[in-house]
Amino acid sequence: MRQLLLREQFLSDLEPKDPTELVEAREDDPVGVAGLSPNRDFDPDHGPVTGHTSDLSGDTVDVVGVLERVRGIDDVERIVCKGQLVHVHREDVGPLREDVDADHLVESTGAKAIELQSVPTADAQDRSAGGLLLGDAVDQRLRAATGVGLSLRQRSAQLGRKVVAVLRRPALAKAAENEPVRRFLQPARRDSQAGADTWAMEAHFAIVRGAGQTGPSSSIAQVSQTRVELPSEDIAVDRRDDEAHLQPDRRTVVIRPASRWPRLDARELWHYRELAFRLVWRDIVVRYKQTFLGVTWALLVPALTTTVYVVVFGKFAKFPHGNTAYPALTAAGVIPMQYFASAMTSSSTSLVTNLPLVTKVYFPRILLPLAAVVVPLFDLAVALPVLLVVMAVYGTWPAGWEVVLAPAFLALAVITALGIGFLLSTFTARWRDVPYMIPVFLQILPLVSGVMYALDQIPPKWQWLFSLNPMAGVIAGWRWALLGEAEPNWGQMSVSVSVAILLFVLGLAVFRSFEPRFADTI
Amino acid sequence: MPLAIEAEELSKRYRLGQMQAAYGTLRDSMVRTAARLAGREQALARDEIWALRDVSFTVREGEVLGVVGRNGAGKSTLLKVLTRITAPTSGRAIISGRVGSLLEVGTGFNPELTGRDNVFLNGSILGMKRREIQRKLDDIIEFSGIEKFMDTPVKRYSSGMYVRLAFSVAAHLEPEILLVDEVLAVGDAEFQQRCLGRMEDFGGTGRTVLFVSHNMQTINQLCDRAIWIDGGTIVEDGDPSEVVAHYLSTAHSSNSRMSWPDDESAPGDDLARLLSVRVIGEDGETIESADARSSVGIEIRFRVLRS
Repeated sequence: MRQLLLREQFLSDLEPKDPTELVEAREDDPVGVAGLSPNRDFDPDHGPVTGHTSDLSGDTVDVVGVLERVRGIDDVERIVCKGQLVHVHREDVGPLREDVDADHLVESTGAKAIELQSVPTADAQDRSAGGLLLGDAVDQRLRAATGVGLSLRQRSAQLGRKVVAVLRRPALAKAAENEPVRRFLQPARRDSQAGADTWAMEAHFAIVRGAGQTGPSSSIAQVSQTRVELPSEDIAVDRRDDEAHLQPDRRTVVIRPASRWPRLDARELWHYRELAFRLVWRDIVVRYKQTFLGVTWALLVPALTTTVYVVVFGKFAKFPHGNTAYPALTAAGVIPMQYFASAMTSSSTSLVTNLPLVTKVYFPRILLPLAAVVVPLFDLAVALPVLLVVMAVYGTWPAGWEVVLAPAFLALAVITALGIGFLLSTFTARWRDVPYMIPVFLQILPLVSGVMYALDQIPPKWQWLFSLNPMAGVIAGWRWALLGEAEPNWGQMSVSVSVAILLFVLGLAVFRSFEPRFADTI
Repeated sequence: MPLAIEAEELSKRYRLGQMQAAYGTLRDSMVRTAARLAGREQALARDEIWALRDVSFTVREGEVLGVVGRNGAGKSTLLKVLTRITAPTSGRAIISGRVGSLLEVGTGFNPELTGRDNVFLNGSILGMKRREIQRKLDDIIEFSGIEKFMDTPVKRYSSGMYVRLAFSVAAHLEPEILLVDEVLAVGDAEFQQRCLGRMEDFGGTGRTVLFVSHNMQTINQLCDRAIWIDGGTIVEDGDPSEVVAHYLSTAHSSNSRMSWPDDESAPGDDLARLLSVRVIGEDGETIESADARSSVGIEIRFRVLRS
């Protein structure tokens, strides 16, 4: 197969009648200079439309004659019989050989074809034939540029010349570089060396005739060069390697009405992981843009909040703080609460703030609330030194191994924020009440989570009631893990954990079942 | 030739409320629900429209299909369904191949980020992988022609620069199937021409393109086949020049006349409802175009339901 694409091999079969007459454009041949602007407009003024001509006379072009002269081929029949290909379409005579049909052509010949087709002019009746050949037969298979034929056909008026025919012929040269298939559209590189023949040059020639002229003044010029990937096995493998990260799988997607039953497509989420990462990255980068203090705010906010709590609730109101120093107790409460407030707010509004994305592109919507709860973790990491400083000042250090559980309690906060975020963002996609609700909720929440007091100091029945709030569990857990406080009541903790998981599962189900309609209702 | 897109009786129903008021308050919904419970469901069902109704067609691999139709004919809904932005009400479509969609350029651009950062962000949103964007970054920047401003926040861009950058990213999207809405109508003439060339190249590489446009010349130039959608159904499917010609010949006839045969769905309230509106010339006939020097009338017919 590949051999056929090489010019020498090909020509030795053909035995040109007279080598000097052969318009055999090599890449360095003057005939081969393309007059092709980047948009594939054929520009007759740019580049020579060389007068290496065949004399075409009269309105009916003798295609076979042209072919003979152009190629120096004396027997078209012979070539056809050999299973090579000369495919001729003419608006006036129809296909020269009825028995060479387009399908056959694709199957049997691949790239090893010379092809001659007349290009129907504007008023041509036989558009379908021309279209078929241009669009389907060879080019589709090879993924070569059909644009050439099309633009010539449509722009013949612009040229001031009638395009009589476009000759498409493969494999003038081959080159070494193993480039992916998408490079087709790049202009051919003349400096590439022969070597592994992974692709070949294919050229389009146009036979054009000056408008209104009938005399022997037609000319032939190369109008394009196209790289063609040789259809061989090992190259296919190469290509796959190179494209592997672009087209990980040829996905077939079936679009059907939304099912009432929510399900989580983990494979799809994995497929979109880069987008998830990019969304998180965007929010972190943008977060403190054009602020004077920048990321310092992530430190300042919890520091100031803690200070106010210490002064007002610790000094004046004398809130119960058990055995731990009040500032440490409060700092260990404020930081996870700050995270939660931020995560819940941004995940609840994530669909609305990303409205252009939701209505204009497809991706699993779940990425939005998901990214929104990840971003504040960054703030939390920045704010941790506040807690460490307070802990150092008051000498409250973790009692022992339980410090490793601190991330687990943080995870509890993440899950809770995500569950509520799923629910509220679904709700927000339809009703805009949520943004008014959230501030009220966030004012009450610290009070019932024990941010500014020690939870174990209040009456037990209230403790149980408050444990319905997962954040109470998170804060009690953090204090136990980080400040060496008394172990939390595990009964209450399991209530908190159960509520968090319930919220998460419920939220996920609701979110997924409304997801297909977000773009319509948002 | 294998099929890239196979749509079978796709339908999409909207409630008019959903389309008119982009969002409502909870109270609105409760009122609606209450009305439904109170047995006025019939009255509400009338507010439904079918943006797509039993649309079936196939697109072969490598085909460039143009979609034409008036505003509100269902073209954009079709694209939204095929891109999975919204789910169909019934029917199904099978899409084989990596899909890229362009419903607008610059989706998700963040004004605070620099041009370069936005290339990565927008690329990811359009479905490109990080490595792919990195490799094409130079091409993208060059194509946009605003190399100097790549490290400037996008909010300081002129709108022309913004669009150039946005389109450059879009133009380097290379999926197997490309679904495009009217996005070529951006930028100055020279840039548009480059974009068009890019689209043409794209169609030439044997990739499948589904292309919605109001620009009939573009449809003629780029497409192998065209479908004409009106009222949510396919009116014609065939050669682009014929479809475009038929579409143009009828589109005009309805431009200056509108009527509502169904009293119930006509605009208005319980006092009066519109029957028809048309533009008339001096002789009282409906006219398509008017001479600025002659008199033009607008005839509005309505029914008074209660006086």
